[in-house]
Amino acid sequence: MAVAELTIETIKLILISWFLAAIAGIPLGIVITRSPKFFRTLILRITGTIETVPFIAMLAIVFPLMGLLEEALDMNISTYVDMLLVLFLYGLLPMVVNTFRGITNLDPAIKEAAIGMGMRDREILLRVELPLALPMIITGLEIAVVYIVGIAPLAAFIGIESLGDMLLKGAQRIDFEQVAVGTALLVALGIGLSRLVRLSKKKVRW
Amino acid sequence: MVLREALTYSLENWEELRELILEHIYWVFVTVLLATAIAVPLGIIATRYKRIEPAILTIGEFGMATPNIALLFLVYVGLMAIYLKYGALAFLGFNTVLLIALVTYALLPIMQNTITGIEGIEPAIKEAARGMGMSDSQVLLKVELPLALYPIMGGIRTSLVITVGAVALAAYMGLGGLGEWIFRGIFRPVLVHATLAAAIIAALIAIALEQVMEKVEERLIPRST
Repeated sequence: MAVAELTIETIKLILISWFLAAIAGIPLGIVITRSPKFFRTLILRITGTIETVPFIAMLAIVFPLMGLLEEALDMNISTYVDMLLVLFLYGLLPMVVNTFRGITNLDPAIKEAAIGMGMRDREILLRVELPLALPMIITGLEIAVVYIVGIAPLAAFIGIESLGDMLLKGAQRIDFEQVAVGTALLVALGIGLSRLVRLSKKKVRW
Repeated sequence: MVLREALTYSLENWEELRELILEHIYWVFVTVLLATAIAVPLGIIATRYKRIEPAILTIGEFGMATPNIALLFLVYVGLMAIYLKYGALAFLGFNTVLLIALVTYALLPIMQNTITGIEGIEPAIKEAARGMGMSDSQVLLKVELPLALYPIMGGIRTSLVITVGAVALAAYMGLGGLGEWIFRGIFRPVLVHATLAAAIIAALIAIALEQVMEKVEERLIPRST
């Protein structure tokens, strides 16, 4: 595969898992601002522990377990799904934590004022808390994409053609140029995507 | 069940597995020890010589923005290429080349945290120390380093956790450790239970190190109240 195709495949992996982490992580972050304390601690603990597990170990745990699931369901799950799941898991923590902190760090007086104005919980969430927490949530998106780009090269280990191939093949053949180009493209992706998010922070309004 | 197979396989090959676990932990500690010994002085130098500080910070930032797998492979392949082409570095063994790659990667968080830790100290505190007649090295040893200890320890903790993963990756290039079993099953589906067993153990090592370091930090850092 040409370098351009490998880059596009990598971008696809990153965007899909990033999107999934956001649509799961933001609601989860909102839910735990309103849930009982034990559930909140549980969710924050689980996502925090996931982050401690080395990526390669996570991939090596997901990979056999998905094989098990494949047998149980008697269907073919591509390794692509394994990789998406791993990337998704690491993108989840920043989304959950930043949504949660963005809402809970708001001045309690703001929420009280909203209650005083007769707003119901749903209105408070949609018209007060989320708009004010938006910058924190966008920072969560930025952190998540940096994590995801950092883990994406692992895809090559389970046979998904992507920029990681340039690292593995380069290491096998001791081809410095190939590794350097692959690395440069990955760094550019990480910096480019996180800059894009940071720019949007100034533009996006609720 | 792949989980039961993983357990039986681990018990049947316990001798080998124990070797790999010890080897893994050994490489993690050697790497982080060397990384600390290099990163803390480097961070101190950066805060002392303002002219080179931006350069060190930029290198650090780029290093952190580089996916760690890429950085590891880049340093390894770079050193190996020099070795093959010029025969230089021949005095270094193969494992030393891998160790240099691991240390390069492990020292970044420690260096960053040393710099931000020292820079974050209130200037008035340093001035007070100087006013008391302390020399520059006394200010460093008695004021700056103790006050920056918390972020430095935090950097070492991050470094330990990421190095557990990096050592596993380095097994791809033949370092040994738990990565050996991880790759054994990823490339040969019949041995997938070996992958699972080694991965779970590696994950537990990372989690345990993080917990232990948290406790150490709590003990070590005197809270001013």
